[in-house]
Amino acid sequence: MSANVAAVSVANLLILAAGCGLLPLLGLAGSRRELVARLGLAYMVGVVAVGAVSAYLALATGVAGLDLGFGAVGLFTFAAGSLVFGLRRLPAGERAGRPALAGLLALVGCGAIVLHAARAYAVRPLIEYDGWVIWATKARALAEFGGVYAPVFAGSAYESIHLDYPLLLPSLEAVDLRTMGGFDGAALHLQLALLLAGFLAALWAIARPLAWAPLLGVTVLALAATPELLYQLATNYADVPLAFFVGLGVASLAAWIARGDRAGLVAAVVFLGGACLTKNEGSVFALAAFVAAVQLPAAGSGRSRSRPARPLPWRRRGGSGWPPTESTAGTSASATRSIPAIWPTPPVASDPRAASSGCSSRTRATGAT
Amino acid sequence: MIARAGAAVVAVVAVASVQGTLGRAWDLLSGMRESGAAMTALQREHAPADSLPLPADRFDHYRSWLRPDDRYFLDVAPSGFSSHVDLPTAVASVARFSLLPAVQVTELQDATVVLSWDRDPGLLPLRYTEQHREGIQLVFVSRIAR
Repeated sequence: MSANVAAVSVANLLILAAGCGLLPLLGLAGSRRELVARLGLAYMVGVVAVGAVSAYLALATGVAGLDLGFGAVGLFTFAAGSLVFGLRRLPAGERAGRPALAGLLALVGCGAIVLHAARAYAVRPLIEYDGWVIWATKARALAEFGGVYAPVFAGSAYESIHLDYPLLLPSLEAVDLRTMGGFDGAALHLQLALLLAGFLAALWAIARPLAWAPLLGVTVLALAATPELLYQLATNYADVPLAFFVGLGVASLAAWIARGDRAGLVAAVVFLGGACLTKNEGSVFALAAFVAAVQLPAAGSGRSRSRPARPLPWRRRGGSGWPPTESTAGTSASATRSIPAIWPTPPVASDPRAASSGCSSRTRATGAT
Repeated sequence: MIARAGAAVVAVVAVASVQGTLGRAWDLLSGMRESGAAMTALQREHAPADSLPLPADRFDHYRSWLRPDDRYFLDVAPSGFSSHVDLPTAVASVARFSLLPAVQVTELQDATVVLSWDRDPGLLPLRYTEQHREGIQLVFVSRIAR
């Protein structure tokens, strides 16, 4: 293992540690058992947090003309602080849960692929055009100058490197470069293999409470074994990391809708926020995901059982679509069943049929008129 | 019932997908590993320029005479290069990446150094304090007298 690969590994262990501490701080784990069950989320939460902090620090220091880039010391401080403050919030003495056997088997299968990918990526040079023209150039500039240096990030000679793109991925790679102490385009690829590992682990952690473990395991393995994914990831383009964040955000939203679990919503905000900070398209994906989530009917969902839903304002009048029309006014049972659950209302579901269908008695009454 | 049928479909698709792609994915990564491991550190460093392809030794020459706080102006003859970039664009792309922390500028008056690519720096209306030529090529690093 080269010194640069070791440096990237150490940086990412610190990112994982930061993520572990952030899980309790963000409300993604309320006990040690939950922390173990959701440990798969830790690395990607750490990636979003470190990338975002590094990016905004780069912007702030760039404005002030300081070289205070997020390197090994900053990363260590951030990770230690997150761990200390995060783990203190967890109740002591509770026994930690154990991961399921199917989870361990899936972990072994995916781990073998990720390890193989890491060995391949760690010696792969920067070849694909946008990989070095846009992303590696920005990462190198952030690492060299310790912040957003105006002659580069606002210079006319650099307009073609998409200065309008957000900085999460280059900032994350700049952390690696500063930990290395120099530029090594091959070792930088290790970061991408670790993102794949983090994505698979996080997907497992999000979907495991909702899916049968063997089914989820083979699905995750199918994702890990996709040649096009492995190739595209190795190009150092931001598209696959963006897809990871969007996928995790949407899965978290689904978990929130299905289980009524606040942690799902928090995770969705974190990951879709990460998507917004990775590429401009991420904002569109995040907006679409949230709009779709609030439109979904809550029938059969955990949230609807625990908290009867209130329809969107334009649907309160009984319509089942937008724009509301006379013909779509909810007069049929099917129309009332499609009224979505959006945000909680005081519990009014005394009628068990209303509770099981996810509609509040208010919306049912409206539909009946 | 529908959920179970859906789960069964997902399982079948996932298993078929793993069966169909695992071998190819493994071979792809093995090939990537073999080709990367066969390269020297210098070849990996030159890979961006080589991938276009442009002669990477010219950028080594530029880098060896540039200072970290330099602002360089690229003097490249207008010329075609490939189906999607011309020569000045290709050279500028590699220079932006490989010559950091020296910074590229588009206006001659903002520059401290002129980097010539098959161009004679003497044709520019400037005086220089030092010049470094790569062999007998028209590849120069010329520091502008201010």
